[in-house]
Amino acid sequence: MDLIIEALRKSYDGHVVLDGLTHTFPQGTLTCVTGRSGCGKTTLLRLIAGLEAPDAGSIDGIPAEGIAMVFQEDRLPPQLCAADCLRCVLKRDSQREAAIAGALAALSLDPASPQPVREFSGGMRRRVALARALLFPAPLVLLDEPFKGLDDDTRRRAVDFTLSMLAGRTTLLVTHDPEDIADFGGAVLRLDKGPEIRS
Amino acid sequence: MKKENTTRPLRLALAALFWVAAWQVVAMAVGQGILLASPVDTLARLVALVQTGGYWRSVLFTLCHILAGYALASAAGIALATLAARYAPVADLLAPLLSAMRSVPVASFVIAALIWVPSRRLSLLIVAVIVLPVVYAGTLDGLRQIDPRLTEMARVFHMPRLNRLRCVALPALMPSLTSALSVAMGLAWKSGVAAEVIGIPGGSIGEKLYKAKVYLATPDLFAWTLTIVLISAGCARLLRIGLGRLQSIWEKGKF
Repeated sequence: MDLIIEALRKSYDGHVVLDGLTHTFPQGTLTCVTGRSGCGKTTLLRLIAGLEAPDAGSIDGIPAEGIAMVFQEDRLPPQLCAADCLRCVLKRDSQREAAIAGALAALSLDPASPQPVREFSGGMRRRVALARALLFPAPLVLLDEPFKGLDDDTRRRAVDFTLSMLAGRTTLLVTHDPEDIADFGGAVLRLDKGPEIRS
Repeated sequence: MKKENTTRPLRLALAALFWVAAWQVVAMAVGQGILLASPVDTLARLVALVQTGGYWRSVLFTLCHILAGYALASAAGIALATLAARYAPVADLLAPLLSAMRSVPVASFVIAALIWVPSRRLSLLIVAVIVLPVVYAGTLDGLRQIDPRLTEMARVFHMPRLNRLRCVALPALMPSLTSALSVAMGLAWKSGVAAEVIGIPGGSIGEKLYKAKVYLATPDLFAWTLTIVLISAGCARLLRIGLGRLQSIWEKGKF
């Protein structure tokens, strides 16, 4: 199902962040959402995720299975190890442990490490948050600057793994980085220039 | 740091020994057991008391009433705080009542309650009245420490309720709740025995304290007081061990 946004409006204390945004994200495609800071990129993701209500407009096509999301912050339970951060949102089945081990290894993290994520570096936490979103079996994926704080090599591995996990899933990737746009291809929605599409 | 930890119990024991010695010296200086019983006299009286059935019946009576009041009030405090954290009008409604419960003196509650409640059940009610606002405040404070960003994450990922409790709620709640339950345990014993001293239910520790006062049996007074202190400290210790085990179970449990 396409994700359809119509005349979406959101303001905070009188400051309009999104003003009548209309856009359709076709099912199974990836769109890079970009624009200057404060133009409403994160707000758009929060509205789609149902974490905030719009002042006006509508969002249709939210899948009942849920949404996978990398938030602007990592949002990991600090006392848990990397694998448990994933386990706590994933259903227990025969594939789960292998998938967790594979994802963490692909992102250069040790799946067997009991170290709580509060002791991780910022980049390590970002990768755990990315693994959580990519393993969560939702057809809609919202990624808010998922590669923030990663060095070049780690970012490369993270991008490759992300690309391998997004097939057939509708994805919105919020980014400031032209490299992300180049790596992921797809449509680009620039919010600071209005609801305009550049492919 | 390690050495500091290993020698601390010894230093605490020495400090306790110092104060017991000071008590003995002061008692010897006063020289009248009726005014100040010495530690030796207190211990001797306690040894004599523990050999009687009445001692253990009184301990059991008071222990059961205080712990029942404590358990009921703790459960109610946690439930009400959970409601208050979720629904602001509940918090507003309860705020004046709990504030009054915190400020009204125990003696006023006891005297007012004596009109309505038989003296045998008085300590249970008074303990509940004293413990409830403490546990309520501790629970509410803990629930307000829950990181709203983690709550949002749990919502987005449809995290199962049990996992939400384990990963998001309990780690934020427990420090504050544990502290409140420990403080409330001490208050429960103080207020419960005070209620018994005023209500004088037959066969309670409070009655024994009252009689010790009437008959100027100072060693009895001190022996019963020592009993209260030891049981109260024991209950607090058991509570901390229980909560620690509980925490360990959910932290080490598999997802």
